[in-house]
Amino acid sequence: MAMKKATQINESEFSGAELILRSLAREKVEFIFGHPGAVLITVLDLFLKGNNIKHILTRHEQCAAHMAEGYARASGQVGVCLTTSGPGATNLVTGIADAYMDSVPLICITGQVATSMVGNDAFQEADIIGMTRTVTKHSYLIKNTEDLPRIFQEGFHIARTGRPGPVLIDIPKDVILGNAKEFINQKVSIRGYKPTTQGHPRQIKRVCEAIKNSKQPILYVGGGAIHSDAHKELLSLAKKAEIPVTWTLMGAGAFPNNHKLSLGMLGMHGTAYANYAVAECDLLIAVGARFDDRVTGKVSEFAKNAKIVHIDIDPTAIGKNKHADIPVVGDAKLILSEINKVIKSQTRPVWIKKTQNLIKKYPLSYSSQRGKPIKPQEAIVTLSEEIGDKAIITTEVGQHQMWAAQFYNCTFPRQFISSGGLGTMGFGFPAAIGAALARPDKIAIDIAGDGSFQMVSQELATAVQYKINVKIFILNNASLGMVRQWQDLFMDRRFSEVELDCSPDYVKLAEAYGACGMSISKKTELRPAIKKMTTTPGPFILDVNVDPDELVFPMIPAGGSTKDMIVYDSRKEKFSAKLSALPDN
Amino acid sequence: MELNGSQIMLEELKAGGVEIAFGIPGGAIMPFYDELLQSEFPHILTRHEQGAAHMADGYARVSSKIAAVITTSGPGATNIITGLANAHMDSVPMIAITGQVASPMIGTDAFQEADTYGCSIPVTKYNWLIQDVKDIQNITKEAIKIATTGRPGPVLIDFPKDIQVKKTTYKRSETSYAGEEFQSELSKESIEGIGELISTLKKSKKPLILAGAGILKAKASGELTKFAKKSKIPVINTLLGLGGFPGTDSLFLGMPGMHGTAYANFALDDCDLLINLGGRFDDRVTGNTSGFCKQAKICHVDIDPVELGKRISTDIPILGNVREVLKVLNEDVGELHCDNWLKKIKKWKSDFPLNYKVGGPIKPQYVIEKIQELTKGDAIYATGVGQHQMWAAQFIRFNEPNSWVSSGGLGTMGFGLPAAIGAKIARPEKEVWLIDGDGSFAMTLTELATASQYGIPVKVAILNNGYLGMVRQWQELFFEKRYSHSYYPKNPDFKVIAEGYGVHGIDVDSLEQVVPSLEEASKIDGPVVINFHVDEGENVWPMVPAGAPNSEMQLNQSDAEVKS
Repeated sequence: MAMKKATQINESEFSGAELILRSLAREKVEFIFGHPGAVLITVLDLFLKGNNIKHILTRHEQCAAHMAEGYARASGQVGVCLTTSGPGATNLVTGIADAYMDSVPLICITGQVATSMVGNDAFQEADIIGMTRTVTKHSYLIKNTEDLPRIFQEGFHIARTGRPGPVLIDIPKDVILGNAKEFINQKVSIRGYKPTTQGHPRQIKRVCEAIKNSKQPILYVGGGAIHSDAHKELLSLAKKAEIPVTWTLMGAGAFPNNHKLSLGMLGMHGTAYANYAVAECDLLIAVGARFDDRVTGKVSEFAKNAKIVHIDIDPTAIGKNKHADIPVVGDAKLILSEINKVIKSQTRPVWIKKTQNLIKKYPLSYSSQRGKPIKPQEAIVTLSEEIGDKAIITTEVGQHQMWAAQFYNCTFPRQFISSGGLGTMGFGFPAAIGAALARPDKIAIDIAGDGSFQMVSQELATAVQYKINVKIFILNNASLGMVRQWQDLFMDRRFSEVELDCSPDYVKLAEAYGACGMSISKKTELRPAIKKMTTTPGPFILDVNVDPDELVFPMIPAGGSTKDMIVYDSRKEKFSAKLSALPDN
Repeated sequence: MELNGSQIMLEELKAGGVEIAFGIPGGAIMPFYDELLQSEFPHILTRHEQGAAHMADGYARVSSKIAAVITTSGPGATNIITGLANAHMDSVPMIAITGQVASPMIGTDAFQEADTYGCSIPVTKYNWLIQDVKDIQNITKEAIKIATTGRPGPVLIDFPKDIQVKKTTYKRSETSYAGEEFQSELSKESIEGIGELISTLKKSKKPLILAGAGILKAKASGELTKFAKKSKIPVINTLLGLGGFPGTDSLFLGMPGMHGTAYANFALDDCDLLINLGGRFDDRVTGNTSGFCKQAKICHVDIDPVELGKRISTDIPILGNVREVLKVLNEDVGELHCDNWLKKIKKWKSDFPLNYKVGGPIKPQYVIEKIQELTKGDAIYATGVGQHQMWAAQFIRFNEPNSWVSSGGLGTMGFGLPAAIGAKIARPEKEVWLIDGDGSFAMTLTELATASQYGIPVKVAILNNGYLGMVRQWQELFFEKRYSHSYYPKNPDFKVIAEGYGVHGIDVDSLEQVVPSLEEASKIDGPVVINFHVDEGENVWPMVPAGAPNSEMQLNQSDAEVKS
């Protein structure tokens, strides 16, 4: 359809490879993350012929996708990765799935064997479109060279509009080598794809009334608030209507955590006060969040007494996991600003006092004793105190991720970058590389676990090659800590396949790659080591040996509710008997 | 007997002959891991799930036994997609068991939920999503049978967490597929096909055998050797078929195709009858199909009916187990007396040998030749993907089947180290050498921790040229030496990395050190990494440009010394 309206913008013919590069330039792409292969050599060749797009050569394609994600999450721009056919493409699948779950805009360009060879089980052929159908927002297999500019325009449009997500463009070798004139559209218009951005006025009015009538409202903020840049509007709303704010892992940074209305993160490893407050609220305003199981626990018990407002740009997310009393489809920023125009200033001294009391009664805590091993939490607290808002924080997946979300004081949007939905170990380090490129004014720090970091340690070579100022802060407990925690709590301490014996010497590893490394295990070393890490330019590993027995609390066991929350570590109790009845996940 | 889903799965895996699992635990597979621990099922904890899949792959290639890959849901499952695709392309049996979120959570975008079933359809021979604990027994049985019989391949069972703990009555069934083989009775058509082949053979003046991986899968190496020697027909092995015919035999012509020997390609071009035994006419073998074996009648023996006539039209298609077909041929075929043909081939072999120039920096081929001399072709040889892989395929002379572990169809960089680890676990009595490139090795070197943890003594020879060498070679030849993003200006110090993992590391940058370093590595009781700094400008010859017919092969033009 779009083709008909396309206009030819240039008389000359271009090769497919040139059309790809021209399309990327039109979208103002700064960086491409990738790894070459036979099918893509022609495209890569053009990167040497002076253009403004910088190609970052990664050591494994999985990391190309995660770097593009880190770049996109830190900058708000579309991240781009480029790999060859076959294993190059299949190596991207985890990254694509990760971006899909967390709504990250990506363009993933994969080379494909020549059209005539597709279906032949040719060398390095893989049906990447088939494999990624369920983990992409949209995908294209390009058949004609002349379609390239239009499809790139559409692809970028789809990736960045509505609920953002990854778009895969599979390009056969003959299409790359072919020649065609360049047709583009002045404006992208795709029939059947017109995301609603303006909230319905009647629904907005209902939200305003609900806010006015509520005694105990809470704002529950997810990644959508960050995608739509709604943090200012959110702050205004919270202040004007005096509504406490709790955020999801993906929403960290959307609301300044040091604000007195912040309740911190909610959910499985959220703060006890956030969870208790949600259990008591009479109005829950979800902004760009999707009622994930790690947030809700047992859905029927979640915010049981509350009227639910659900603001989301994706109509399919509304009512999917939890019934919404007032659904509002649209862009969070636009909708919140409409709400702010209507509502009047309000104060709720009783409710605020109640939440403040909860904060006092159930603070996040851990016990640190002199002469004992470093607690992972105190390592993060010290890091937060030392660097604060000078850092962009990425995390891997596991215990350290939860502690980072709990204890690192995030104050601005896009400061905290983590793999939420897919929970991909090995995400944080490449994502930090991408984030460092997007925000050279900040220090990118990957708060890592040793198990996660080992999955992608080879990207140290990439960080060193491009002199990327990235720091890897490993909370080393020599095990797969979160799995170990579940085995500790729910499986009578039967530790099955979680001990990572023979872990590498991280200092040696860093040095082998030409980076710097340091290993510490005493509390007194923590602060000086962090200073050393942040003042040393370039990639740096700080290996912090922490107490391996430390668990993440609070914890609402999977499938449970606030009633089942284990607030503090009191391991004398046996949890497993009490919890065996839960339909856990 | 009342058992839970995990216990039933483990019982059935054991009954089906699965002796080991490779994997990483996570939330959605934890109940299964708990039973795994309690039943003391052998398990290797890897550092990345991709490594687990490649280990099971390497294990299967050298032992013809199937191993299990176990991962959690979401990223655990998506991380094995490459490993599944790799096994699928090369017809390697494998059973993947992936945790899935609890049944009521499926479709809610739950934590670590991914549509593993959907994602893995194109890269498995068959796959299942278990919906009822009562189905586990039959599904697991079926899965092992499908993976190991006919044309082998990977299968995947997606196993929701709630079903892992659900109980049901279980009765062990008497039928078991452990070690069972697919004894396809040859059909009437196949017998007729063999008859036609025999009469064509008798008329042929220039017959040639192209033997693929099917020979190894069907354990037909003995029958092939007997047939070739009895009839005196020269034999070419595809990349995946290497080891199926003795590499030192005078009838052996090496590998065909893009980086095959000149004499193999000449023979293909000139033969009047090509007998393809368990190969699939891959594009890297045929080059441009219109120019492939122009003079020849083509007979194709394969167990997979979809392969017959798929890429090359076949004059005599024979469907069936290649070993059974060879048995019939061995009964009916005697010496063919094609002396002129054999003479011609002998001359090609002496006129156009594999060659490279010695002198200057260490030549990668030299290192491989020395590994060959040290191990006398009796070791197991694994590779990554790229130039080093082609050189290894060219210069190693295999004595035995199932001693070559290399990624053919998918061409997966990073396959080597985990595959070598899997191979060593399967055949501990064998020395296992990984010949790898620096780019490939870097992709999965994290598994050094696994080798170190379990004390798996694989010997790694990195042919380090600081480049993605095969990409560099194409850029040199076809892109006027514009080396775009194929160069690693900051390669790590692999010796120090090895040491960081507690693995013995050796650095070699002079010719004299090559042999002593190999001997040292061979003597050490544990994993060893040797980092050979080799000539970065060396190219793989011969080479048929992609898409060209094999007749357009380019030979090494330099004043190369005659070697091999």
